[in-house]
Amino acid sequence: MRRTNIFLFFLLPFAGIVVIFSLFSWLNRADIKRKTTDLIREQLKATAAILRVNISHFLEERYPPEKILDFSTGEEDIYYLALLDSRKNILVWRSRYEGYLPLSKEDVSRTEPWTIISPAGRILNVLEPLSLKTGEGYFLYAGYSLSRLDEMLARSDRNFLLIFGFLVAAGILFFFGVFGLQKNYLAKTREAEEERKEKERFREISAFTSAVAHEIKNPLNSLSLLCELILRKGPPEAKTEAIQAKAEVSKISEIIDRFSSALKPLRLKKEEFPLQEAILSAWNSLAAAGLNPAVDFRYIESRPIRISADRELLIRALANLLQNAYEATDKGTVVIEAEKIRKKVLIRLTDTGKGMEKDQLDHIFDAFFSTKDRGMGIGLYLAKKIIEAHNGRIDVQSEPGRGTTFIIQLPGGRHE
Amino acid sequence: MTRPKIYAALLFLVVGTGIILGQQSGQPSLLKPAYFYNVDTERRVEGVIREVLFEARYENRAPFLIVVLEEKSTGQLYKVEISPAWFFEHDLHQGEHIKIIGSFYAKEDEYFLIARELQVGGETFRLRDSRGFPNWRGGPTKGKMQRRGRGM
Repeated sequence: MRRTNIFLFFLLPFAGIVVIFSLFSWLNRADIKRKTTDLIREQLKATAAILRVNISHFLEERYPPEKILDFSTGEEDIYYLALLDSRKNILVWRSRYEGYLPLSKEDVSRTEPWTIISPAGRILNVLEPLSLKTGEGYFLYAGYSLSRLDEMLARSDRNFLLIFGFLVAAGILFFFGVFGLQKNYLAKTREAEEERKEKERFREISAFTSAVAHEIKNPLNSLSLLCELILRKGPPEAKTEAIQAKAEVSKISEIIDRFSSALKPLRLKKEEFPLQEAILSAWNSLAAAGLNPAVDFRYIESRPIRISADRELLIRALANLLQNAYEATDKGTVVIEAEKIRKKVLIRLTDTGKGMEKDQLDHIFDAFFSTKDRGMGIGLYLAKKIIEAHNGRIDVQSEPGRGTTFIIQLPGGRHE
Repeated sequence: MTRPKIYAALLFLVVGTGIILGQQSGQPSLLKPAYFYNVDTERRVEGVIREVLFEARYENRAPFLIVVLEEKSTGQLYKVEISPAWFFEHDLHQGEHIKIIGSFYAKEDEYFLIARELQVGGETFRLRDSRGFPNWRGGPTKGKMQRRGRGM
C-alpha cells in the first residue's frame, strides 16, 4: 500500500478523531471546571456570608474578638481567619498553619475574592466588610481550602488521560487490524489478478496451439498415408526411407498429441486400483523405450496401498516424473516410496541426479519451462496438473549435485 | 480518691486525649499565634548567633527552635523563630555566622523575626514559601528540610 494511502485512509482519520475527541473533551472539561469552580466559590461565599452574620452578631453582643474567632474556627475548609478593623488593621487572627496568614498590603485593597497557591493546595481568599447595627465597621478575612475542587479536577484529568489512552490504544489496534486486512485483501487481489492474466494467456496459447495442432494433423495424416502407399506400392529401394519418414511423422504426431493433451482440461475417470500397479506401469512405459541401465530403480511400499484415481492420468504423471528423474541421473538410483499417512497417500520420488538450483525450482512446474536442451517443458507441468486435478499437491526439494525429491500427496487411499 | 479529684483526672484525660488526637490527626482547630508571617515586613538580617533556645510558640505544637541573633551592622538583637525543632536537622551553635530572610515584628522593645530562609556555613535552608507557608506542613518538602548549597 502506498505511503500516501496509509496517511489518507488511516493516519489522517485516526488523528482527526483523536483531535476532535481532545478538543471536545477539553472544552467540556473547561466548562465543567468553570462551573464547578463557580459552584464552589458560591458555596464558599455563602459560608462566608453565614460566618459574617455570626461574627457580626457576636460583635454586636460585645464578645471579645478572640473568643469570636474561637467560636468560628470549626469549619474544616477554613485555613485561616482574621478580623480587621475599619482601617484594615488586623485585630485578631487564627491559622491552621504556624504563622501563615498571607494577607499583604496589596491584598487589603481587593474587593473580589482571589486565589493563591500554597503547598497545601489552592486557597480562596475573601476579604469582606462587616457592618454592625451600632455603625461600627470591621472586615473579615478568610482563606478557604479549594483542595476538594482540586481533587475533583485532578480526578477529571486522570479520567481524561485514561479515556484518551484507551482511545489511542484502541485506535492503534484498530488501525493495525484494518491495515492488516487491507494489506491481505490487496495481496489477494493482486494474486487473483495475476492468476486471471495467467489463465487468459494460457487460454490464448491453448486456442492457438489447438488451432495449429488441428491444421498440422490433417497434412500429417496425408503424409502418413503417403508413406504407407510408398511402402506398399513404391520401389523396394525406397522402403527404408519410407519407414524412416513414417517414423518421423508419427513422432511429430505424438508431440502434437502431447501438447494437445497438456492444454486440454482434464476429465477424471476415477477407479480404485493398487498404487504399485500404476507405478510399475509408469516404469514399464519408460522401460519399453529404453532406460539407462546405470540407474537402479526401487519401489518401497510399507503395506500395499489401494488408491482411487484416474489410472491412465496418474500413470502418465508418474511416468513424466520418472522420466525427469532418469534424465537427471547419469548413474545412481531412482527410488519411489509410498506410504499412507492419515487420510493421505504420500509418494516420494527421489533421484541421486544432478539436482537443481533455487531459481530453476521456482519455475519447474511452469508450462514450456525446461532445463534440458531437447525438453519441451510439458512433462512436469502436466504431472502437476494431473495431481492437482485429484485435489492433491506436489512439492519439490532439490540440492545441486545431490539429487531431487518430488513429494506427492493424494487424498484418500487405503491399505489392502 | 475524692470525687473532685476523680473529675479532675477525667477532665485531664479527656482534654489530654483531645490534644494528642488533634496533634496526630494533623487537622486541629485554628492556631492562636502571636504574630504571623507578614510579607510586608520581610527583611534580611546578617549576624552572629548569641543563643540557641527551644520555645513553645504555637499552642498544641512541638517546641520551636529559636536563635538570638546579633545583627552584624547594628548590634541589634533579634529573636528568630526558625522552625519546629524536629524539622531543622542542622546543628546551630553560639557564635556561628548566619543570614536570615524573614518577617520582622517588634513586641515590648524586643525585635523578632519569623525566618523564611536561613543561610549558615554555605548552606541555605528554605523554611517557608514566599508567602510564609511553613515547609514542614505540606507540599513537596513536607517532613524534610529543603536545603541548597554545600553538602547537598
